[in-house]
Amino acid sequence: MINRNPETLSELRLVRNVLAISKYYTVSQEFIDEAYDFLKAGSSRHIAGYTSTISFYEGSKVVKSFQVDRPISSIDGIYVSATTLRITPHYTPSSYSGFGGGSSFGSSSGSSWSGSSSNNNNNNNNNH
Amino acid sequence: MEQILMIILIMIILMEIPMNNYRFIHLLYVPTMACNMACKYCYLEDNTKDEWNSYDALETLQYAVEKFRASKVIPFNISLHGGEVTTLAKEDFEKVIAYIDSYYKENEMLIESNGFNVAPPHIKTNLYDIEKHLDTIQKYNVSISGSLDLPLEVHDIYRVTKGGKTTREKILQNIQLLEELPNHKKVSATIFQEHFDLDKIVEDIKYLDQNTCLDMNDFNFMIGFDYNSNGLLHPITEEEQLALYERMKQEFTGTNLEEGLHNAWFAEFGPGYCTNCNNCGDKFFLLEKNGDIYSCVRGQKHKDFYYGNIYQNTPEEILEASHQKIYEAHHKMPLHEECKTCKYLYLCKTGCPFVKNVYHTSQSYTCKLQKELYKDWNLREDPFADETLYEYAKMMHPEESEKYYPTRNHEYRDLRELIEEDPKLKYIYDPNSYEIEIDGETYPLESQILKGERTIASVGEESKIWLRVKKHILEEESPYPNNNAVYIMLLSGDCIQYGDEKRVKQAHIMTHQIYKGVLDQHKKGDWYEIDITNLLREYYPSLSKENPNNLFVTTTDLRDYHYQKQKNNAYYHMDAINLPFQNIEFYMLGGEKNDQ
Repeated sequence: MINRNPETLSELRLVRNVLAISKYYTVSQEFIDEAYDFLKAGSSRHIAGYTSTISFYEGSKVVKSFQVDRPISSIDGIYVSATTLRITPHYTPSSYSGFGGGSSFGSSSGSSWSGSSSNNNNNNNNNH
Repeated sequence: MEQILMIILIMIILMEIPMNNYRFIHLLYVPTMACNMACKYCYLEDNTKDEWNSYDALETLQYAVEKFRASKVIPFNISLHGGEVTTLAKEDFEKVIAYIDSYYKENEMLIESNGFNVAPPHIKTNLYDIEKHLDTIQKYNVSISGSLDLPLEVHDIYRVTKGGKTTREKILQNIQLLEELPNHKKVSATIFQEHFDLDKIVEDIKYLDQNTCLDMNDFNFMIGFDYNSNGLLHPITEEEQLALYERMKQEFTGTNLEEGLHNAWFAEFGPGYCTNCNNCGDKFFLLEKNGDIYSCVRGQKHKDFYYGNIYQNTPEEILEASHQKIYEAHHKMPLHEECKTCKYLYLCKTGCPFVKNVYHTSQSYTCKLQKELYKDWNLREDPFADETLYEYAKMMHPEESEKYYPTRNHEYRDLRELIEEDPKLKYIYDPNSYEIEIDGETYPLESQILKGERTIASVGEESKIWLRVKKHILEEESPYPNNNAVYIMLLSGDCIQYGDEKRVKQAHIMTHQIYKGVLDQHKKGDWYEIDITNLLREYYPSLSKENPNNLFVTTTDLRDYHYQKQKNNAYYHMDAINLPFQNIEFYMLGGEKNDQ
C-alpha cells in the first residue's frame, strides 16, 4: 500500500521500488509513505536495507536509520533510489566456513584459547 | 510415559535449563572507583575517587543482576575490578563476594548447561591492601588476578602510592601472605616501550615463578596502547611485539613454564577473548557502582563506549545501545585492505574496537603477533576466507558488503575457473558486451549466474528501450559471422512447470534473432544500437505484473557453444544449469495497483 497518487512514469517507478522494500521487510504504512517522499525529494537520495537495519541516505550520509523488527534472511540487502532497485540475494555460507556454523578450524595443539578457565586482568574471555 | 515427561518438565523448570532464549553476558563490576595507589600512567586519571556515597556496592550489583535476569540476560561471569576493590571496607567486600558466590551456586546449572564454566568469585587487584580481606578470600575461594609491572624495577617507577612511595616490596610481601591459601593466584603485566627490556622480563618471570606462590603458567602479557598514560608510556611496535613473543619462546620452551607460554601468556590475542569477537557489545559489560554501564575497562568513562545506566535504562535499551555503539566503533573506518585478504579474519574479526578508534585504524594493533600465534597454535588458514569476508562485511560494513559477495560454487568446480580454462566461454559471460537503456537509464548486462546482485528495472507501457551490442560480439566463436545473430530471450516473472524433468521455471515468452546484416545498419561507434521498444511492447500483455520479468541477450553461435559445452562437461552443466547469459530483470509498471 502507498498513500500517494503517482501520475508520471518516474513516480510509478518510484512506487514500485519502494514497495519492493515491503516485500522483504516488515514495515509500516508510515514507513512506506516516508520512503516515497524521501526518495522523491532528491536524486542523490537512496535507501539501503541490510539484514538488521534500513538506512536513509543523502549522498553517502546516513540521514536516518531503523533497526528492522526482525532480522531478515531471505535477502542480504536491498538498494532503492528513485531510479534503481538492486537486491543482493541471501548468500548461504558453506557449512565448513567460519560463519557457516560448522568447523571452526580449531587448534589441535591443545591451546586453551577457547577461553573457559582463566580471567585476564584487563580483558574478558569466554568469547564463545 | 506421561509421568516421566511430567517429571522431566518439572526438572527443567526447577533447574532452569534453558528452554527460552537467554542471553549470557560477562559482567565486570566496579564496586568502588577509589584506589589506594596512584600509578603514574593510570588510564582512569583523576577518576580514582569514590564519589558515589549514595550508592551501595552490593545493592547496585544485586539490582543490576536481577534487572538483567528479569529480561533473561544472565551474567555467566561476574568479576570485580576497580578502582581498587580491596579499598572496600572489609564487611562490604565480603557482602559483595558472598553475593557473587551465592549467585553462581544458584545459577550454576543454567550457566554451565549453556557452555560457560562457573569459576569461584574473581577479583582484579593491585595487591597492595589485600591482607585485610584474606579471611573473605579464603572463605569464598576467591581467585586473584594481580597487576605488576615487569621488569619489577619499572614497577617501582610507575606503580606508587598516592604519597609517591614505592609499592613493590609490600606487594611481594602480600603475595607471600597468599601462599598458604589454596586459591588461584596470578598476575599480568602490560608491556610498553618503557618495559621493553627482554632480559629483565625473563629474569623476573623466573623469579616470580621460583620465589612466589603465583601461578606463572597463568600469567598474562598485555600489549599497551597509546591512551591515557599521561604521556609517560609509549607503545611497542609490532616488530617489538613479535620480538617479545620470540624471546619468550626461546627462553621458556622446554621449561616448566612452556604450558603458559603456549596458552595463557598470549591468550588475549587469541579468538577466545573479547578483543576478537564479532560484536563485543553483545556480551561484555562493565558496571559501575552508580549504575553506569560501559563496554569494558578500556572504554570506561568514554562516551562512545557508554551504554546507559541500569537504574535509568531497561536492559533492552542497554543491549541495543551496546550493540549499536560497538557496531559504530567498528564501522567508523572502512575495512582495512589487509583484512580483506587475510585468512585469519575468521579468528581476529579485526580486533578491539576501542583501540582501533584510538589509533584511527581499522586493523588490530597486534595483527602481526596474532598471525604468528595462530600459526604456532595450529589454527588453520580459512579456506572460506571469501565467505568470511562477506559475512563480516555484512555485519560491520553492510554498505560495502555487496563488493565481497562470494561467487564460489561449493559442490562442483567453480564456474569462473571453467571460464578461465576455456576461452570460448569468455563472451557468453562478458559483462561489457551488451547494454540496455530504459527511459534514459543505462544498465550494463551481466551474466545472471555470475553477478552477486540483482538489478531490477521498471518498464512502463510508454517506456523507450534501446539495446546496445558490441560490434565484435558477432565475430566471437562464430565461423560465419554473417550467419550469426543477436539472440534475445524474454521470460515472464511467473513460473510454469516444464517437460520431463518437471522443473518449475520462468515461462518463456519470446525469442528473437537479429542478423548481422540488419545490425550493420545500426552502427554507433563500437556498438550496434537497436530500438527494441516496439518488439517488447508486443509482449507486455503476456508479462508478469507482479514479479520481475527477464530479458536475456547473447548471440546464436555463443548460445550454441554454451549447450555444446553443457553436453561435454558435467561440472559446467551443473554450474550453468540456469540460463547463464547476460540479462536484465524488470517490473512491468501497473502491478503496483495489485500490490495496493
